[in-house]
Amino acid sequence: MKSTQKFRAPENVMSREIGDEGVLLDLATGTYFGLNSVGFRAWQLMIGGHTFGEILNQILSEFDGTDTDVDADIEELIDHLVNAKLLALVDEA
Amino acid sequence: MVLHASAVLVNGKAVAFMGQSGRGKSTLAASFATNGFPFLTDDGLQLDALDKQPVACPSHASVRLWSDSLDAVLDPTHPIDEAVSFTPKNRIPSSGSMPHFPQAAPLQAIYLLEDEPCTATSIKQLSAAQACMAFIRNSFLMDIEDHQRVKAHFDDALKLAEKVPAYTLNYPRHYGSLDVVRESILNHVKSLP
Repeated sequence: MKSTQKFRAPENVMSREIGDEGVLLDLATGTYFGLNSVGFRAWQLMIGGHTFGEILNQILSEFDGTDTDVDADIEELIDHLVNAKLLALVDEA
Repeated sequence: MVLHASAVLVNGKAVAFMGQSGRGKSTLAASFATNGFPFLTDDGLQLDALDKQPVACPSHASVRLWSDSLDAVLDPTHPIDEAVSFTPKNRIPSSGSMPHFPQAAPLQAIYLLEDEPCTATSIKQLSAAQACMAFIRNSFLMDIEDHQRVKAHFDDALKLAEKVPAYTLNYPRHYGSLDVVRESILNHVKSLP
């Protein structure tokens, strides 16, 4: 994934923080998805307008993990969320 | 909010057993009720006061059991009500030997019934996020097209997960173990703050 890639949450997706984790809910389909602490932090950064590269750097600074592992984990998370229509990629201008 | 759960009264507080049909909610409720812990409901559990201290509301004073559960839990002379059209289960009214608690009670804990093969009772706490999703999965929501209602339902599940601890409960699925399972659950409830 390009380090400049940005993201947005579809309008019908709600997110709620609970403890240090989070739950996403697609109001249109009733689909819900649980995120652990790393996943929810990444989600917050994604919908906060940060690029993929910025998100990786921030996650590495806040949590334990190698560059390779964090990159793979966050990309896998993004794939899951996009496939579940809980996240959308922003087209680069 | 209405959970797909039974509930019994333990030391003045309600304990709920939540899960899909056939997971043992009614059998556990009857097992507790016939051993000194009255049941509030055997299936749909309405919860109120989610903004403050969630309370479990009582429902109909009867338990519905399949014949094998009935034979395992109840005295053979216990009365059975006439069958109703919406369930093939036996409908057993409350009695002195299987009492019903007709008042709302503070909800102390929720146990999510699992069905994994095992040789001993296992109880593990769910994180709040896991509990929230379990409540969504095991609650009644009539119209998912009504987005405002779905949103409110989601927020109710969150409030419940923040206020009431939830645990997975897995136990050996043979009736001979019910007494031991019940004691394991009671010991766990007693250990709760």
